[in-house]
Amino acid sequence: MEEIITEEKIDAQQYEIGVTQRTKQLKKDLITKACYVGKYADGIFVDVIRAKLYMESYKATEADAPVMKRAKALKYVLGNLPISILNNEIIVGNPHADPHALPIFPEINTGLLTEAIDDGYVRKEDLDDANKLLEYWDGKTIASKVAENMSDWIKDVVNTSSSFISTTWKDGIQHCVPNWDYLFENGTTELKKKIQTKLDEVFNEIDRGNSTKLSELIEKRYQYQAMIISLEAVELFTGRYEKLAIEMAEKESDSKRAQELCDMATMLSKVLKERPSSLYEACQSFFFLHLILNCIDSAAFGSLVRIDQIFWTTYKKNVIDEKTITQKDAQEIIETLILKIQVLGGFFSRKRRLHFEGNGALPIWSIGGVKPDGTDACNEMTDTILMAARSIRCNQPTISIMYHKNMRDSSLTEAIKTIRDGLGYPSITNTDWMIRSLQRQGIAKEIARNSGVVGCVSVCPVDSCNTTKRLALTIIAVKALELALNEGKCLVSGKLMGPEEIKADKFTTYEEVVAAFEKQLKFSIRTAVNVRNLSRHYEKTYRPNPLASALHRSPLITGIDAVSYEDEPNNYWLNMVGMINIVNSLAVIKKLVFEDKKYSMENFITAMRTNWEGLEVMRQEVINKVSKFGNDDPYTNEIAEEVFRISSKVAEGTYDINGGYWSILAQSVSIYQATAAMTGAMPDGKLSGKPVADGGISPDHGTDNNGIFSVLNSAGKIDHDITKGLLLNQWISPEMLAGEEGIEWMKSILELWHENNLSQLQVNVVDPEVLRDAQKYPEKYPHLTIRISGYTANWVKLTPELQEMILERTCQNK
Amino acid sequence: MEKCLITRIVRDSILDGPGCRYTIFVKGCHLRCEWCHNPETQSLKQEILRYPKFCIKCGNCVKAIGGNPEKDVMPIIIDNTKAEMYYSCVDNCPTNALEYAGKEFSVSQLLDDMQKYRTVYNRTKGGLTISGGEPLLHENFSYNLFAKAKSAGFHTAVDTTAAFEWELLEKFLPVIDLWMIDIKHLYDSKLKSVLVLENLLKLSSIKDINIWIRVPLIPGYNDLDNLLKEMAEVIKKAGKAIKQVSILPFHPLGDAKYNALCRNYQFAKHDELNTEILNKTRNKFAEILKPVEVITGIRMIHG
Repeated sequence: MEEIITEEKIDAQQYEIGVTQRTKQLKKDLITKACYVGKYADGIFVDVIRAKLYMESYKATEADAPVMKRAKALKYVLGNLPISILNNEIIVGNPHADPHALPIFPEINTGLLTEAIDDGYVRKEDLDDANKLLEYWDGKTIASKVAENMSDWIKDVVNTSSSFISTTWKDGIQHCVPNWDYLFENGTTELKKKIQTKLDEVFNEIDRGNSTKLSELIEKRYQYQAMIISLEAVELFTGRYEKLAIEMAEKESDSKRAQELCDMATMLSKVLKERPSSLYEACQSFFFLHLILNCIDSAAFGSLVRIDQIFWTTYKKNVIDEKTITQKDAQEIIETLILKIQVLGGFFSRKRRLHFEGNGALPIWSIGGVKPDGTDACNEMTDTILMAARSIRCNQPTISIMYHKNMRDSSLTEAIKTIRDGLGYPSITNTDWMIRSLQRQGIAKEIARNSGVVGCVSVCPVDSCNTTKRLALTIIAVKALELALNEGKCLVSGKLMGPEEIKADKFTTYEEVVAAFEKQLKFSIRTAVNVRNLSRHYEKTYRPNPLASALHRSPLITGIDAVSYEDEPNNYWLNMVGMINIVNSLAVIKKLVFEDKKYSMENFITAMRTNWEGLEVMRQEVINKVSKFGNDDPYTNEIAEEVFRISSKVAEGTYDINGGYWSILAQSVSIYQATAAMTGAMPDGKLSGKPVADGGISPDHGTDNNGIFSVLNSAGKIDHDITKGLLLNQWISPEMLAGEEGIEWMKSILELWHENNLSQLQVNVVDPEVLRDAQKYPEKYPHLTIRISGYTANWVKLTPELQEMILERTCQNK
Repeated sequence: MEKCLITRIVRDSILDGPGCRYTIFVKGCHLRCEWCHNPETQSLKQEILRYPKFCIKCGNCVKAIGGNPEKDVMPIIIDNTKAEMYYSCVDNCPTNALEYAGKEFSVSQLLDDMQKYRTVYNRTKGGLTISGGEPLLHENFSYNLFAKAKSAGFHTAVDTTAAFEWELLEKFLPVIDLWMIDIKHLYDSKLKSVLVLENLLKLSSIKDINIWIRVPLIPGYNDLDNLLKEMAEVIKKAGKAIKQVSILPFHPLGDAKYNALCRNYQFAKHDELNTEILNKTRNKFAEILKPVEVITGIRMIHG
């Protein structure tokens, strides 16, 4: 007797969207900024107004210190940017008055504005301004300053390299968040006072004529003044919204909406200035700063927030203690907040539009986890956030639940139900791994416990300035093996991309192959890190962040900008792509060349150079007859352990400009698709023009034959504690999670996963049949979401190629 | 050490008993149900599965037994009554166009593997299920595996036809926690219906026994109102021992495996049983068997 599935089928159409009429309507009116097939939806355009204001301020402040320029520019932009409050909104704020507009940041990367003009995203009437912006920022961006420092060969390697993604350093900071606890405790009023006190001290010292410290004191003076100006800028912005709400209330004919606008104005009069008194105010505070830091002051995504923790105080007060609102009201507020974040987006490069298909930005909310004392941190807010996410069905922000064995059962159950609903999140982060990994970097246990997820996978303490200078680099690790086996030359471009290497048929042992791989990996990591360090140097000099500085503890104490503050373990990682192809390729070489002696190294070099042409029998043997990673086979498990250990060692041998080391991390987002054009044929049977295995440590497409348990046990052989996180993607049919048994089953899988000390798990529960059907009848599945290594996308809007690739992957229990 | 040909191991099954199951499918069954959807589990001997869609026409299989790749069909047509003649073809096939239907495992290999996932089986109150094929046909192997699993603290379940002399079933009583028994018919002598029913009643008289009944609903075989009603009434006689009854609708997916075995499937042209008939039957059973839970399920084909 084989499997029986219950009749309970999960149908994407059955979902009731929105807990209230308001959120239903807001969801209907939503304007998506996501790009599909490399394009933004009709009507989406790039608005240069923010950039224009920013430039005007810079022109007027040319004599100022960089930090003052930044603060004044922010104040000028926030004081003059057109604003609007849209129909039905209760949480307000937009990067532009027109919700179809995308902001652009030529001060960071002029190339994007050029592309926006070329691709027709800049309106005709704005072209003049756009060209003036290009002219003004030419040669002033970080990217151009970095390039000045490179030798011609390195410049060539960097620009044409397929060993790492070379654009990462052009985009600047990618996440920027306040220390929310610190902000909510104080409010901007209190923060300004604290900074003023420090500023007064600095003035006093200058007055006393401390000549040896004078340069430092002057720097501090600029810093503190800029921090105050930045906070004033924020208050100016919220004040404009308050005024707008009052004006609109006066004109509003619908008395109910007029009352709402009046209540909103009252809330806006206090928002951010003091400790939030309601969940509504806390959510509005959250959104304003998320917006300013990530979409107005800079182009970033805004992760690292323990959202259920920062809202818990007001939730408890409003819903549980004072009962001024119900759980449903709270859920409505959270749903509107999610919708506000969903509508945000950035203008991305052509390449990136293809690679990061289906998403506007990548903010991630952390929930669950433990409190600093180690006890469970889940609460009713955790559950309500998950319920809101399930109800409103948006693909951003994504959520990661920080799992531990003593979690509140209802929170874990809600999380599994959210996964079951096919949203593609929450991803699951192992709290115990997180604490161990951070402690290994020298972070105290209590601080490590109060951490969350940044980007897709990496973890970082909440009380640190790290997100204001997040450094990540994508290393196409599989390239190192390609170079090692091809005399240091790239199979795609034919160019020398690393140190020269002997011909691979001269390798006499497996260990020599591994050593050659390590040598190439060292070179590509060192080169990439050098470039990133250069940009880090210029970011510190030219792009300080006085607003973020005002919202963290350390800059107040030290007078050092958050972007420059280094007195804490860094949060730098190398995102290693194609690791599993390396493992499988080495397994094939070890077995077939050095043990069975069935094929020679020469055979494999020929295969790689000819893209396996005329060698299909050999290729099939390689694919089918050698055990691959993910089947809990000790042979490949051992190689996997070795490959990750070596990579980690190489990474930790490279340093940032302050001497902190880089760590490895593995998740490939949908960059793995881009690897198709960047990588050649591999000994594991991969063809040139095909992408590498996706997900950090997920088995390659169709090579795991023993089910999820074996995958977990294989992954468990890799030491996760020496990494910044290794993402494991798994697909489970929705029927596996049906009913209470299904939920219990998932909980037991999580226990096995936790027992294996793994770091991150991402579960997709989409039935391939549903995906196929949705390919044919997209109109039937408008809300079908899937997750691709760390972010979620709307399935029906993905390109056919990407859809096919996802369908090819092993679906557990199909 | 006792070994057995296993056609498949499912480590995360939630359908072969309570909780999460480590389910193994043994090769070999003494019955030959015409609708059987796992034909590769019928013969006790090794067999070869043939999947032309994976073939790259390399000719290795043909050459392995001295054939002519220019002329012969590829992958080579397998006569599974003489499967051993074709082993070298499978061994030389670089793809999965030819593969063995079963793989030999020992009791200790399986126990060791199962131990690795103990967390899951414990937490879900699941355990070991031997399915097939017919587990009791492999008397020593199944007995030893059950006995060792049980003494290691795992819940044990068997998926059996129960078409054996009572003495054999009696031997297994101490090592099996849950008996999952197929009731297919009442009067089919080829499938030993009378013997099965006698055994069911004997089993049900054992103190604290747990039995799940599975009724495959097969068009043209047992889908007669009177017969089904009678079957339900017979099951009712087993009384409190019956913890659950499930009605399993026919589906034609087994055809792929018949093709792979180079055999014909008589039921290939039948459609999947429609839900209406299935639910009607379920309700009828539920009415007669009250308060026993009667569920329906769709049989899914594996791999």
